[in-house]
Amino acid sequence: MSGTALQAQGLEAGYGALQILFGIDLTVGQGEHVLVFGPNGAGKSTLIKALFGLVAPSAGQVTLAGRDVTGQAPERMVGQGMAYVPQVSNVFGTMSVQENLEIGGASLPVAQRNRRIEEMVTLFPVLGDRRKQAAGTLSGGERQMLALARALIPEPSVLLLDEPSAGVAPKIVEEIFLLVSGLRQTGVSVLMIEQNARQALPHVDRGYVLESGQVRMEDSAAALRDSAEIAELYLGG
Amino acid sequence: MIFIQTLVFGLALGGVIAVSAVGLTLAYGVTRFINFAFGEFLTLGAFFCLMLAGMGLPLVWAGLLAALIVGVLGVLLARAFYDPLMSRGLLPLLVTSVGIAFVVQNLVRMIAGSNPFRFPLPLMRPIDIAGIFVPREQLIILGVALAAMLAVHLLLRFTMLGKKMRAVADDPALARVAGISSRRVLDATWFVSALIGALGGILLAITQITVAPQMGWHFLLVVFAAVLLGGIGSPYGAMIGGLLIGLAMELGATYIAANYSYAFAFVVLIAVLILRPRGLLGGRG
Repeated sequence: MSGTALQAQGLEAGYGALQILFGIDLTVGQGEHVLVFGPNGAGKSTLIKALFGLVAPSAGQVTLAGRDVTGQAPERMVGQGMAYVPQVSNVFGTMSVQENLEIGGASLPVAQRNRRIEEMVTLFPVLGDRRKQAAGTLSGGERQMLALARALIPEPSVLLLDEPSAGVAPKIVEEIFLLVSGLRQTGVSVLMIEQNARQALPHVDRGYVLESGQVRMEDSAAALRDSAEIAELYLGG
Repeated sequence: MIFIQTLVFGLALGGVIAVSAVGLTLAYGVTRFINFAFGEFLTLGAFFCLMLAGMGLPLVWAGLLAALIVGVLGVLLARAFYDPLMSRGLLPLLVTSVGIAFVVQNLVRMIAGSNPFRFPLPLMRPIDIAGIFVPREQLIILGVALAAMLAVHLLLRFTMLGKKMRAVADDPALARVAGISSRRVLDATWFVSALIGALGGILLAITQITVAPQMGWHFLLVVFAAVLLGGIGSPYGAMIGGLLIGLAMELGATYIAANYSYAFAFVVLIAVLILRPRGLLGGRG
């Protein structure tokens, strides 16, 4: 691991008077895949939104490869090399697969955009078969792939995934995790939050357990899987 | 004979309505609020065209220049009055847009006076096709309207700006997350909306032969009917809706009662909405 891609220090955030996150410290190394999991209401969703600037942090700092990006608007985060795939409604349903990918590369020069689209279509062949199809007619798994591909078009250094297994048929979930895992070869760092930690853990390098807006535990994925306490509390035995 | 002539008039009127409806629905699609001052873009377009033509500019150039001026005014208006209210919900925006409509209307009345002007269209000999009397103005209106709609189609389908506009209309939150700056897309949308509105107003002035300060405000109702008929937010729906409403108005006026052409617009609208509550092409809830 050559350095830190994304770091949060003492991050606090919430909605109005309701504070959700309390002093979160978290790092994602370059090329590292990190999972954040924990019970419902632990603040996973708020955490990922605060990292991406969708929720303004009330304290603390977010740095991207050492640059302070705390609380920047999401559309600027993309330009800084951070990408985000929301949990639901993560494709433009009225637009074609091809157009969704083009939107992902809207800020790139045409030649580079087209090259990236071809690369994504090679990475996700299913999308290549459905270029003209409206994204709204894709299956849950295909949508998730399109959302991933769209986010990857600008070659982000860090990819934030909000529950990639949500809305996907159970037998496709593993496929999605394998795809994300396969992104290692591109060198992109991944931070994902997942309800389905048991299935996601084998595919990541490190994990954070979030509870009541605080980091309860942090360890390698293997150690977390072997921990009896974690297994009992968060992985369903 | 009369039937074919009525069809030509209906299509021309429908083209005027369709162009205007596309402008209104485009802005709605991106901003999610109905701009009640949209009719004023029509009025301003017609008056600027009249003014520029009065200064000696050929009518075509006067029309194009007027549309561009109104496009820029649309952006300035939106920046000054709509953008700051975007986060405050719909009601403040609606009330503000009605207010702007009245202010603009009365400014025009103050400057130009309330007597209608005659639109300076050169006299043209109607074309006689096998005994059917087809006024050239109507053909020009229809041609310009179709060209404008084709331009909008090309913009939305084949340019990055158009795709961004569709992305923001589809899901503004996702567009933001995908790195699209809504600021520039909003500016572009208001520009196109106002420009098309102005063009609609100029075409309307040609059909009505007169230009008056309240022309856009009155016509707005028919434009709404077309927008709703096609499915609000759908530019292609607005095109179809506009043509259908225009045909209904002319056919109704010719065969049923000439004084009720507005009523026929709404009879069609109500009939369609009973069968398809989201309009012809309004897919999403």
